[in-house]
Amino acid sequence: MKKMLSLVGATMLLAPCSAVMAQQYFVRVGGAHISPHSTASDVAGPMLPPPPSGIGLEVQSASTLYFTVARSINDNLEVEFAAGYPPTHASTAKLSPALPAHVLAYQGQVLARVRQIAPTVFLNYKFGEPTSRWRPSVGLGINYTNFDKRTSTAAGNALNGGPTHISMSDSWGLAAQVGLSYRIDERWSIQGALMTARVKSRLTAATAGVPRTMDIRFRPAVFTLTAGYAF
Amino acid sequence: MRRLFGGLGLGAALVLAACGGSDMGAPSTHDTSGARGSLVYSPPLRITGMDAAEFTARLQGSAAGQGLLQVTGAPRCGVLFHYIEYGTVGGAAEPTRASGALMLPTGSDPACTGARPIVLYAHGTSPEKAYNIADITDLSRPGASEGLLIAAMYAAQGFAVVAPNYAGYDTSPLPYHPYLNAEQQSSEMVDALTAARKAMKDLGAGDSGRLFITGYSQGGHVAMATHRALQAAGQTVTASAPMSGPYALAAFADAVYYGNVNLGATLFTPLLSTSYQKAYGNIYGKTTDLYEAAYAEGIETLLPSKMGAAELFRQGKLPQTAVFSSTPPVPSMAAITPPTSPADQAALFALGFGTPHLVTNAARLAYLQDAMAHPDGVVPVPTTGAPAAAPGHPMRQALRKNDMRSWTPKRPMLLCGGRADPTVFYGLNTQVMQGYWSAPSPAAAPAGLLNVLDVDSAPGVNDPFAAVKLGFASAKASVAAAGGASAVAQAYHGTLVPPFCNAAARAYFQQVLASGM
Repeated sequence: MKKMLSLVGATMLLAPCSAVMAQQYFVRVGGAHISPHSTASDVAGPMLPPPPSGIGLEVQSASTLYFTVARSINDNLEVEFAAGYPPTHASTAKLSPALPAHVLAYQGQVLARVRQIAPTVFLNYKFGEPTSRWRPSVGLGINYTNFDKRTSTAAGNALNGGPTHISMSDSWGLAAQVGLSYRIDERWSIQGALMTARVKSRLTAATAGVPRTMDIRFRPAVFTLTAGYAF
Repeated sequence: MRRLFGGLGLGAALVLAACGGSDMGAPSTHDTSGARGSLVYSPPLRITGMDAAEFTARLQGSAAGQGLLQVTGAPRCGVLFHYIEYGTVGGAAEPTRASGALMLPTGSDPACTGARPIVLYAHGTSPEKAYNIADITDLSRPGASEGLLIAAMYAAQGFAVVAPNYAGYDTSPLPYHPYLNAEQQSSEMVDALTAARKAMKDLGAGDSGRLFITGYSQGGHVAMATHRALQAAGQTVTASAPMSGPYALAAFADAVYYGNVNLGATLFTPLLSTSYQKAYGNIYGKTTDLYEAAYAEGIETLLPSKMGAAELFRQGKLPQTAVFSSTPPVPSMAAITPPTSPADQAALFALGFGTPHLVTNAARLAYLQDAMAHPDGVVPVPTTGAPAAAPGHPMRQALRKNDMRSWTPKRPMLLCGGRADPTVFYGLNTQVMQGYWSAPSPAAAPAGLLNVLDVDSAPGVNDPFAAVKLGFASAKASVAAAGGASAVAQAYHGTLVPPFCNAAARAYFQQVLASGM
């Protein structure tokens, strides 16, 4: 986390200060809906059916409070730090129909709940003039994702064969967004944006000391709607 | 503006609160004491679970399973397969860990619920380190077919089953296996049982307090040693059924050195020699004292192996069958290099000799000279029936220490085997124990306590094991029809006898339970 913040700091410091007049801060607060679009490899490890085990996971959508702080570099470029209240996603069983009935009984059940913290830094290009009513934008950035709380549910424990400790590796990856801003007045605006990022994590589920792993890739679609304030 | 920054500050604080961990969602304990009989993880991992119908369907899904169903009968109970890890000791009493299976019957049938009797099962020799009798999810894995056999035989009929993988196997950190070390193996069986009983308590599974001990091949020896150890400790043994085991170990090994080489001896020799070297330290000074140079290097860490037996032979890590040289150590030993009588076993014994071979002629000669100076009471000719009183050779001393001709059971025991076993000789083990425990032997057991079953014999009148004998005869006949006598010899010990002896053991245990003995 510390590393991340210092990176943000560095990015901000590195931002050129050419257009002094245009320098401005924006704070945007609103909501985000996250569709993780996860694909998970079949879980692998000791004492499982022979690979492919046919046992996978799907991370479900979540909504959360979303906020960003941005600093303009010039009339068209800004650096934006995006974060949100850490959302918790339900993760459901995705099972091969070839598995025996007593395993298939868990199909679609919530096996785990994972909370993610995913701060992202964007460099945004905003089309039009600062005074334009509508301003589309595109942004490219870096996402860091940390899964800070992972809980195995009763169904997860039952499918894994006992109380299960879940860990997930951190992820660093590219992020991108497209947005549209509507200017109400010189202070207030409304923004909508659609963003995505490359997120990869190795999940380890340890049951009674026996670790089983799966690799999860996310191609999230995050839709945000925010109210912005400039100062 | 201040307010907004305040808001952001709160957000940042929430983000920074990212120091959380994982919640298992249920209580569990991790015992790192390493103490004997400690259960490392509780509740233990449940690998899989099936109700009776699913278990039946699973068995019907393979040819081997269908054959097994005919011997075991249809499952009455579902079975939960748990994986236990426990603290135990190595061959030199060094602390270590090992793993095993706890199979629990489930279901609404009265035979499957409530307090269940326990079957403590000792498995047969495996060259494979990955042996895990608890993992029946893939039958190609080492240990899976034996695990499925005991699950169908005992757990699916209402017995809780405890079956250790043994120290040195699976995830055990011990770098060797204390093979046929009676003290270690019986201690480990007791440790696995202690840990399994803790697990049963934590899982809410009832224990009737009735304890049955059985095991096959190496496990037959282990089962008998465990009965002896529990009896000596004054603990409950309801009955035992050692099967096809090398009980009269000193007599059996002498016979092998006299040239009666059994099938599998090139695997058993390094397992046994390493085990006793680790326990007693005096089997050899260096490995070349015992083994030919081609095999001596690294042989102490060869077994249990990541490879199966076939791969070990293919890579030349061990000779396939030749234990001894075809050249006699001294000319006077030509008649036992190899022996040509009895005629029906000459071909089997001849397999034990050749080039390249495992054991040096010098080692064989030193062993035989001691065997001649201090003969066993059974080999080369039957005399006292007891082991040699004071052998001088360190290996023969070690074998005597682990020979089961040392005690008399006080609880019912069934000894089961097949008379034509080419791997663990029936006459030299099962029948020697029968003689040792029968009058006029000073170690004779009370009448009726000892039962001996040769599955490879014709049923007698009112024979309680008639079905087992007929089933064995039929299975043997179908192997013979497909592959002839050599196929029967190859399948005899490892495939043909086990289901039928286990079926006999189960019937025996059920009879003991019903009689209230």
